[in-house]
Amino acid sequence: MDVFFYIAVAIAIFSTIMAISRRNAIHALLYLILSLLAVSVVFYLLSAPFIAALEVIIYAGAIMVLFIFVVMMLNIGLEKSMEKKWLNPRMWIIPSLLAGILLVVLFLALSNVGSLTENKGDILPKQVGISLFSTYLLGVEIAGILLMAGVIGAYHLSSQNKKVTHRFLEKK
Amino acid sequence: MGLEQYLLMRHELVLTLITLIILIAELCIKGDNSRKIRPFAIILFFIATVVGFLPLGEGSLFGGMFQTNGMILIMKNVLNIGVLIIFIQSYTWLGNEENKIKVSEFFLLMLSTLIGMDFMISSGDFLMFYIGLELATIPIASLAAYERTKTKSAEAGIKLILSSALSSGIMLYGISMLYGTTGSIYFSEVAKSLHSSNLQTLAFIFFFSGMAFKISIVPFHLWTADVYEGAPISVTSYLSVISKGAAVFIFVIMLFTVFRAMTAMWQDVLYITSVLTMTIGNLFAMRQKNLKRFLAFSSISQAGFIFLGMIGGNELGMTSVVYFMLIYIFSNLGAFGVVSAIANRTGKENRDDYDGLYLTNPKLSLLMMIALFSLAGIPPVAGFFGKFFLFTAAAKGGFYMLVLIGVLNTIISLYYYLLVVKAMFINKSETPIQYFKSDGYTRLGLIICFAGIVFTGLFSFVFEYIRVYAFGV
Repeated sequence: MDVFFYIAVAIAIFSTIMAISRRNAIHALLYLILSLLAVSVVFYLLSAPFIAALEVIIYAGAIMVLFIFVVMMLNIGLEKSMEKKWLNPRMWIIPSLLAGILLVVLFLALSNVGSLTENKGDILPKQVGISLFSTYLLGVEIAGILLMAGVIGAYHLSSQNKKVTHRFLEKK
Repeated sequence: MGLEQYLLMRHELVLTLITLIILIAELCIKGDNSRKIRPFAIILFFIATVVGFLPLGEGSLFGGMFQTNGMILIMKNVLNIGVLIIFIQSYTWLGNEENKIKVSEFFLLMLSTLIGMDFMISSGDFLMFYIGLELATIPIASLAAYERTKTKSAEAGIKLILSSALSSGIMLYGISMLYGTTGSIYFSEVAKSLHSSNLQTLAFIFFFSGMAFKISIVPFHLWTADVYEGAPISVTSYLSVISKGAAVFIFVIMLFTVFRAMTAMWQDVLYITSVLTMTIGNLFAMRQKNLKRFLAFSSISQAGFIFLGMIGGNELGMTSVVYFMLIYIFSNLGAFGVVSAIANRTGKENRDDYDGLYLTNPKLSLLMMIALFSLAGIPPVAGFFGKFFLFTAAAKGGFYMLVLIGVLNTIISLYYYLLVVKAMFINKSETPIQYFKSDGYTRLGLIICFAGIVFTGLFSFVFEYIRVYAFGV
């Protein structure tokens, strides 16, 4: 198991360094997704499968997709061939190779451990839920206030005077 | 297990309640929102401030995640007073045409950061501390970018959010090391198993760096001047007084409780950073022409002085830090209040514009002078006693050299505070700022500051009150 852990950690560190050193935002995001996946494997190996799943669903899934959408939309109409340039094989071959290694690690780890429920040390969704709504109830409530403040702030920053046409359709 | 135990969270509950009331009121009030919301919010918050002073026991809730005692209660009250003054001072500015449609956001964001600060100060574990800290910083960034039409304001917002995200990251790294070495995130547990191992020292340094960002201690101060200059004046004064105050309070609590076992180590860290902060803050403040930047650097050097009170690690130090913060709130808000009153009227923020202010606006310049004297620490006004107690606390801990450096820095700071006073009283100007009459709210804010500076200076029982209330001595 230790070997798997170190492989996943190495991939996480490598891809994070790559993510912050890329010049192209899309490539950086590709590595960032990989880093998040690697971290999620680390969580899994540390017997926290629920957090690992959350990491994939929320970070690698939802947030990264949002990021990529934003980056791609910001450059709308500037260059038609942008997509081709971004996605040439040289750029995605290393991330996908590393992601493949992660997949193998995950499979091996799964087959070693057996099914999830048998492993007593694992922290399962039920326990997470119980501790969130008993021990850490106060933290959850304050996080709620934080989200509310965030929504108000975001509304405040992004609200603008009513316009008839969308800004993309305006004539420059 | 009755519901009355939740009264221990009175400050936070009351604040949450009025935040929600304002949120709903914003929806319900028809017509000119801004005219009704502003006094409504101020009155609500005034009630909250008064309620905060009612006596309250001590104890902890939620298995030690939330704790409160006399000292923490006083800290929250000090912050409340500051926020009340800021609300009153920002009344006029919020009435401006471009701000009218978003008045309630200002109050909502400010109040939610205050909730965050209160929770942060009473936190009993690192998780609560961190959530409170985030709640205290993130809304502030959107407040700093409040004037969306101005580029500088947007720049201030993005600078604030980026630097605070970085500092939070560094701090979390430190906290994770503490968790790794002690196996707990509860302050009481962590304090028991600290023994200054190398990793724990590193953890403290990381944690300290994160806090130093918030208090703007010198190697981590670079964001301060830009953000202070770009943000609207009300937000700037909030950042320089309330945000800084809350960070100072939780930091002093942590140093005295959690990191008690590492006292010798953090004294070294505080020593170096305090000398650097005082000196560099002062030297940069001298060169500033813009008064907001000037006050930013002055507030950096004040943070260095606050460290003098902490470094002794004694009870007197804690009391004097709270006392100094109270005085600092009045003095700094007095100075910001004058700057804001003049900027609202004329849009002028530079020191040269203040030439000959005394001839046209004697009252304003008199108040500005008292506030600056108080910041510098000249005897009759409160600032002197604040600094005096800080120095005493450091001397009691045996840091005579540091006290000497502090006194020298006070003299340097006197120079640039007097530059502003000289501009107002002695310099002649062809085109002085014309005489103007401020409206009631601005005046009320200034009068409270003035009364605060004089009152806390002349009546020593304020210090005794803090001491007795906090420690029951």
